[in-house]
Order: sequence, then structure tokens, then C-alpha cells
Amino acid sequence: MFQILIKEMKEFFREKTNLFFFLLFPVVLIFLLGNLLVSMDDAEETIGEIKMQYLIQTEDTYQIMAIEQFIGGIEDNKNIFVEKAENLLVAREMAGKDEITAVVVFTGEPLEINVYEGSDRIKNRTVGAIINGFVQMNRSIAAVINTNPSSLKEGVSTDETFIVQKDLGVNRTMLDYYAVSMVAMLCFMSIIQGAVAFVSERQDKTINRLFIAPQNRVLLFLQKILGIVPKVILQISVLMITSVVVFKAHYAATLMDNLYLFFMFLMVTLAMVSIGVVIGLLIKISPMAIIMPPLSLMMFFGGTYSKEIYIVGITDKMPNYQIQQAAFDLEIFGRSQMASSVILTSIIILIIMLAIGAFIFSKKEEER
Amino acid sequence: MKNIWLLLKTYMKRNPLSIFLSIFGGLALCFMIYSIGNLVVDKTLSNIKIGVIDYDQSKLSKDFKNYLTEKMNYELIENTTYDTLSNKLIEKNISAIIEISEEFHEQFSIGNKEDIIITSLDDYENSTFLQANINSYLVSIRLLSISAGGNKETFDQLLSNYQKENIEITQAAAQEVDKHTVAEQGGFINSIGFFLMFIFYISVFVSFMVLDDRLNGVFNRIQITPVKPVQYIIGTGVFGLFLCIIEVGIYCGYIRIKDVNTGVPFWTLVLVMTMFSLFTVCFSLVMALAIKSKNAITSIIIGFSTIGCILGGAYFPISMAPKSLQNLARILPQFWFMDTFRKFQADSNADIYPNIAILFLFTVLTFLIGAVLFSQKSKNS
Amino acid sequence: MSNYVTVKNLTKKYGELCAVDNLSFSVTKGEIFGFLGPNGAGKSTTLSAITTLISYDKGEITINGLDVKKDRMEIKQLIGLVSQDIAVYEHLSALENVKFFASLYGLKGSNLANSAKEALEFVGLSDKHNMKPKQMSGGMRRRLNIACGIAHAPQLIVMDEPTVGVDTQSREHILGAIKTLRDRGATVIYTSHYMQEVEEICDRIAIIDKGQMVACGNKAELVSLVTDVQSIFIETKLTNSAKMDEFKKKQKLMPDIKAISIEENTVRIDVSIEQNSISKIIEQFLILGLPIINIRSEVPNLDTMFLTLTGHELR
Repeated sequence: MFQILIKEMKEFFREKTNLFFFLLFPVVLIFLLGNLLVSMDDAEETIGEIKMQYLIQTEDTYQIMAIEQFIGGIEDNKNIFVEKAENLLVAREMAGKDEITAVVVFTGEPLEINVYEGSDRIKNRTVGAIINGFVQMNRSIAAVINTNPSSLKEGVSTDETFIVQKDLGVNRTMLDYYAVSMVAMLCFMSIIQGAVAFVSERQDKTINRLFIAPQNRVLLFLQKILGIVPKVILQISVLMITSVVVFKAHYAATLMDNLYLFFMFLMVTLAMVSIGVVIGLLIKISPMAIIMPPLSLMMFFGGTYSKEIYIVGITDKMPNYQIQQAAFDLEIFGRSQMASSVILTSIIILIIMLAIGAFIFSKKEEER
Repeated sequence: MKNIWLLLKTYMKRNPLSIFLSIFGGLALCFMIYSIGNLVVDKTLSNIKIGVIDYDQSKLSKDFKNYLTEKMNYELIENTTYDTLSNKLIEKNISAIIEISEEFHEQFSIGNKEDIIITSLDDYENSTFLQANINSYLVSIRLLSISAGGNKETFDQLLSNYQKENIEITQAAAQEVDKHTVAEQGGFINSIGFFLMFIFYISVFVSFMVLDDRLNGVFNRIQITPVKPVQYIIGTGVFGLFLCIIEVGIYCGYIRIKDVNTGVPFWTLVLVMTMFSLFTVCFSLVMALAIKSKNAITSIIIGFSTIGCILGGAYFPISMAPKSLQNLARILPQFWFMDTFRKFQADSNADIYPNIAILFLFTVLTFLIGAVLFSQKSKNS
Repeated sequence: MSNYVTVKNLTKKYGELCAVDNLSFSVTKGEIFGFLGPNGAGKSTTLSAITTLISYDKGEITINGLDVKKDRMEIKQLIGLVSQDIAVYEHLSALENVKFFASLYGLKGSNLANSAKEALEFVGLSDKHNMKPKQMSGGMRRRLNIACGIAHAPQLIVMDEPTVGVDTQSREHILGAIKTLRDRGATVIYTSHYMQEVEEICDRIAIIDKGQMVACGNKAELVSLVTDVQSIFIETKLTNSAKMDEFKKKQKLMPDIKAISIEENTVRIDVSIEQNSISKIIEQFLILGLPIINIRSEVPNLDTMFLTLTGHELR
């Protein structure tokens, strides 16, 4: 029985393609994706410079003072640059061409603010937030002046914050996200491994030697599947350990949760292998070429390559998305219900596919 | 010419699946312009949802919520538990969870400060602006609180006056952008990234074809016929290009017929896509001539395609990436391909000649490598 | 000698096509049995049925008294297959390949290791045991293919064109090895398109065509089915036609001479295949003073017999 297992392991490690595709490739992707998007963990980096021009078209002296004080307060010569516009039309054109972020016009009595924005959505929101800050402060000052002007004290420092960030337990960085999504990707790519295990035997005709061997065919079939198990354990382990040790990604908080997470990934992988095996018994052409395109599409729409991809009705139906969510649920909240559902589903798929595969294998005749 | 045509016809008979996949790829791209476009619109122009748990249910908390909905255009999800909102947060149905403590109004009214608790995951943009907007509101409430001097009635009166004060903010685009254009341009820039993925899958089939000829001895057989080796390569290349052109044709045809506003001049789009197709065909020929195993070819092409698409900005812009990775991306043709379209969408007068020149150079380089490998194989066989 | 393999009324259809049609033959224990036929005759189908690779529609196959359908596991233990396709694992070394396939037959430990080494030695690859198939020449791969099929010392070895694409040296080695296997008591069913090989090593030969048995027997029996005449060609100088006429008159009196014909300077004499008439003919030529410039004879062989029995059309 161990002969088949040893043979499978030898073949796997001696085929350089396997080493690249199933061991190195996912690690490279974690590195790339986690680092490409690492700045998304830090909002300030992504906004960039804000260049504003303004016009004061109101006659309200008080408001003019308030506006000029406000302008003086926001410009920091680092990220936010503010200057007076000479001409509204010219300024609007500049904003339209994204030479500046926006033009802000303070006009009317009572004061109204018109903001003419460029096309950068995030910068526009930043301008909106800045103006909103002015408006709220203006409202409260006006309210105090109208009620009891003498009670207006020094004001409130705008550096004071009124937010307490509550942690869900784990601060999930981009690397953490991709550490999970790449393991999910590896789980699904194991379909190819399962398929190749039998396609290559059929192409090389070594399957005929297995057929004429005095062994129960179902047992032979199961032995071949068993030969794939150490490989998948190794792949998942290498990826998870590399992510943690080399890239400092985080999985679950406790050892038990991590083991459960590993077990979930393992069961999913085995289920995928079993599907691949059935495919490999039925097709003769290169499984990689057939399986990778739909797999890539599934991974894209399931948010494996980018967590920003979420299409209602499509993404949430993708199996890889479900598995990722189960993993995140376990990692972030320590909740194992989704993971348990995934494990149970995987076991059911595994059993059904193994039964189908064993049946096909036992009935198969000579490969010509 | 006759021989090239003969080869082309044979390839078409040998590979009906690849022709089908090209057609399917083209149709899939057209579908993506439409579906991803709508997603982009929904994401950019719809209201942001946040979950709120109001333990206070006071005048102040109502005003605060009113500020979030009426002034900031957030959509609030209330009347549910923290666990339910946590699930929604994880599933990205909401951007954050806000908890208003039961002493919210009380503390401010007696001159103290009370914090809002926010729970968010990794929705950095929405979370950041939400915090900024909340801080703006609470800074102004804090001013009222200090001015009230700890007197609850005074605070309530200040709050009422505050509620009456209003400064209208009108936000408009400096240049009119309509929803339809946002959808079309968003759909285009995302679907063109998929083109990069699909075109490499087609190249796998082209590589397989040449590899089969090499391994089966058909290559040698063709060499001793009147068909010149260069005609063989041209015939194979033309077939590969034909497959790519099917996809390009369907995609560009859809854009033309539906008059999709991609933000890119139509013929520029056709030129750049055709040029990249040519690069891909040359690349697939190089792979087939350099490598002896189908599994290895598939691994390398898919690996190059995936990593190239990610680094090249096919799935998301890499302007946010560290400089080192942005510089690394420049060695990839995918980067220059995507950069062409992003430049055009940002500025219709963008100078894309460097991009086209670089793509052309990539194609020429790959072609030359292929030619060298091919002549070596011809000599050695 | 008892029959080791018995095939009775074997029939196998693939849809409308009847690949094997009511075929019957037997193979004696310890013989090398040649199995010949043109392409598409049903050889591979018959061998696949014997080796349990395919099922069959009608008939009975027994090996050492065991029924192929009922006693599959016991039968599999007895069989070794050397297929036409080189069925080895490219990433395993020669020794690893042989050990793996031998282990499927229950061999373990030192028994397994020794059997594998012996098999490689037997095919002349003992010094190449660490080499992988992709590093080997065609002949070496064929020999490895054989080693994988015989390592478990099967009693019945089925060899389907084991020398295809092999150099002369390797072929000689393989043929010698097959004879040794026979000498050690194995029964071999051997198919090939090389008549010389079949003539050289097979004890008996069966010829099938279109799924049916055409002929079966040893070489002499098969050749005699076709003809019992051999032709002797003597090139001479016919300067004196009177002497040739006298020769003809005298030869007609010899009962084993079937016919004499003359074409230009060559005399063709058809004689009975069993009689050694050449010396008598030469004697007559010398007596008559007719010069002998060149002499050759054409004996019907298996090629002739095969073509005659199965037809001359290429299929």
C-alpha cells in the first residue's frame, strides 16, 4: 500500500512544474498581492495631495473672517494646498482637468458652499469631509453666538477625537486577507492534481499495468488517492507557515482555531482532489488547460485576487468566497459554524466523488 | 502564401475547441463590460451603509443619526444586534458598526465628552471618512457642551439652535459626468484586464499545437516538404493571431455597435489589443520551442499571465503599491497595456506613443527570441 | 505437454464491428507461441481478453485451468504483460519502476529488491538501474518495459511487439532473454510484425485475420499449407541448345522435378520441397558440360505463407 504513496510523492517532487505551481506560485502571489495593496491598510498614503482653490463671494464679514481662519487652519503644506482662485471659470476648468482637486465657492447670505469637483473620487470625499468640518463648526459657533455669545470660550481643538476603534479581535491586513485567499486558491487548484494523477497514468498507459495487477481495483484507486494526501498536507502547511513566518501574516488567534482552520482547508482540498480524479478518469487532454480558465474566473469573481471585487448574487455564490468567509469568521470572530459547514459539505462531496471515481475505475477497461 | 493558407486551414480543423474558446472569451468580455460596469456604478454612486446601535435614544443621538443620513447620505441599519451587524460587516453588506452609548446625551449635556465606538474591518476608505465626518459633528457638539457650562437646559437650547443653523453644501462635478459614462468606463477598464487573462489561455492552445508537432515528429516531416520553416512559423502565428482577433473583434465590435464610452479612441483600442495579441502569439511560440512538456508550458503561461496581470494592474490600479513593485511592474507588457487605457481615461489627450512603442518592442523582442530558438531547432533536427 | 492457455470460441464486438469472431486456440505450457495477423486482425483484442484488460462477449478463456472471468485475481497473479506501449513512469529510475510494479504482485522487502535487481540484470540494465526512462535510448526503454512485466516471475508472459523501434543489439538481447524465459519454464505468447523474429523464437504460430483463426502450427506445418515446391535458379551459358534439350528430357524422368523453364540464360527448376534435388541437378549439368555461372534456390517461408494466407492487401 505504501508503495503507491511513495511513488506518488517521488513523482510529485521530481516534476519541477509541480514544485513551481503548487508550492512556489501561491507563495509568490501572497507576497505580491499582500505588498501591492499594503498601502490600503494606511489610508493617508492613498489619498495623496489635495489642491484646492477657493472663492469668497459672500458679503457677510463674520463669515469671511470664519472662512479665512478656516482656510488658514487646514493648509498644512504637506498634503493640503489651498489658494485663492482668480476666476471661477478657469478654476472649474482646472478642476475638470484634475489639475486641482476642487474649487470651493463660499457664497450668499445665508452662506452657501458650492464645491466643483474633479474626477478623483477619494480626493473629492476628502474635500467634502474638510468642508463638512467647517460647516459643523460654523453651525455650532453660530448657535452659541445666537444664544449666549459670552459663553463662547476658546473653542475645541480639532485634533480631539471622539472615536474609539473597536477591534473585532484581529487587525486584518492585506497580507492576512491574501494569506487566506491564496490557501483557498491552492485548495481549488488541487482539482488539477487529482485530474493529473489519472490522466498521466492513462496517457503513459501505466494504468494498464495497474489494471492487470492482482489487487482489488477499488483499493488500488483509494491507494492512489491516499498518495495525494501527503502532498496536499505539505502544500497547505508550506503556504500557511511561510505566510506566518516570512510574511508575518496572521491566521486565527489560538492554536486550536488554527488547527481547525487547517483541517477545513485540508478537507476542501481533498474534496477538490476527488472531483479532479473523476475528471481525470474521464478526459484525456491536459487538465490544466481545461480546468484553469473556469477556475481563474471563479477565483476572480470570488474575491481571491482582490477583496474589492464583490458582485451581489455572483460573488457570494462562489465556493471559494464561501470558504474564505468561513476562514475569516473563524479567524476574526473565533466562530466555527461556517467552517464546520464547509467541512461537512467537503466530506460529503469527497465521499460521493470517491464512490463515483472508484466505480469508474473498477469498470474501466484497457487504455489504448 | 498557399502553404501558409494550407497550414492555417489544418490548424483550424485540428483545434475547433480553441476557436470556440475565443468566441466564448469575446462574449464573456462583452458581458463583463455590462455587469462590472453596473457594479462600479453601484459602488461609487450608491449610499454607504453603516450599522448603528443606539443605546441612548436621546434627542442628541437622533440628531446625530439625522446628520449621518440627511447631511452625509449614509444609509443606517438599525434595530438589530451587534452579532447580526458583525456578520453584515464581515460579508461587506455594511462598512462599519457605530455604537452610541447610553450616556451620550447625558455626558455632553453636563460638559463632558463621550466617545462613539466604531467597529470596521478593512473598508479603509469608508471607515476613514466616516470617522472624519463623525469627528466634525462631535467637535461642534463639544463646543456646544463647553459653552453650556454644564447646564443641561442651556445645552439643549444650544442644540436646538444648532439644529436650526444650516449651510447648504452643493457638490457638483466640474465637468458633468453621467452615471452611464461611469458605468461604461468602469466596465471597460475592468473587462480589458480580463482580456489579458483570456488571451494567455488562447496562447496555451497555440503552444500545445507547436509542441505536439515537435514531439510527434510532424515538425521534422514538415521540414522535408516544400513548406519552408518560416512559412510554418508564419502559418502557426497567423492561426494564433486569428484566434486572438476573434476575441478582439467580438469585444471591439460590441463596443462599436453599442457605442460604449470607453474613454479610449476606438482605433487605438483595436491597435493596442491587436499588438498585445501579437506579443502573446510570439510568447506562446517561444514557450513551445523552448519547453518540452505541456504541463510546464501551462504552468509558465498561467504563472506569467496571473502574476503579470496582478502586477500590471489588470485587476486593480497599482498606484497604491510600493514604489519598488511599481518599478518592477514596468518590465511587464501587461503594465504598459493597462497604463495606455488608464492614461486615456484620465486624460483624453494623453500621450500613449511611448506605451505603444514599448509594447511593439516587447513583441519584436519575443519574436526575435522565437526566431533564434526556431533556427536552432531547425539546425539540430 | 498440457495446454496452459485455452481459448474457446472467443467473441468480442465493438458495436457493429466484430473484432474477434469465434476464435479458438491453445498454448502449451512452456512454449513460445507466436500470434500473428495483419493490422486490425484482432490480435491485441485477444491478448487484452487473455490478460483481463477487457471483457469479452462470448467464449471461454482458461489459464492453468482457471477461468479468466471467474478466477480473475488468481489469473492476474500468473500473468506478466509486456505491452507495445512503453508503460513506465518517467520520473522514477529503472529500479524504482521495476520495484513498484513488482510490489503490486505482493513482493516485499528483500524479495522485492532481489527480484527487481534480477529483472534488470536479465534485460541487461543492471548498470543503468538509477537512470530514468527519459534518459534512456529506445532500446533501453523497451528492455525496461520487459523488466517491469517479468520481475514478479509470472508463469504466462504476454508480449505485444516488444521489439518495435529497437536497435539490432537490443533486439538480439531481447530475443535471447525470451528464450531463456521459456527455458526457465514460462509460457510466452508473442506477437510481432517481424517474421524473422517469429521464425527464430516461436515454437508454434497462430495466424488470425478478421478476428478468425486462419492457421496454426509450427513453421513447417504452416509453410506446407501454402506450397510444397521450391524453385532452383541456375544461371548458365546456353551456347548449345541441344544439350539443354537433352537435360530437359532427362530431368522429366525425375519424379520430384515439377517443372523446368528457361528465361534468357537462367534455368528455373521447380522441385519437391522435401527432396534434396539440387546435387542431382548440378551433377546433370556437369555431365552435359553446361557451365554453372550462378545458382540459387527460393524456399517458401513465413512471409510467403503469411501473405498467401491473409491476402496481399495492405490494411
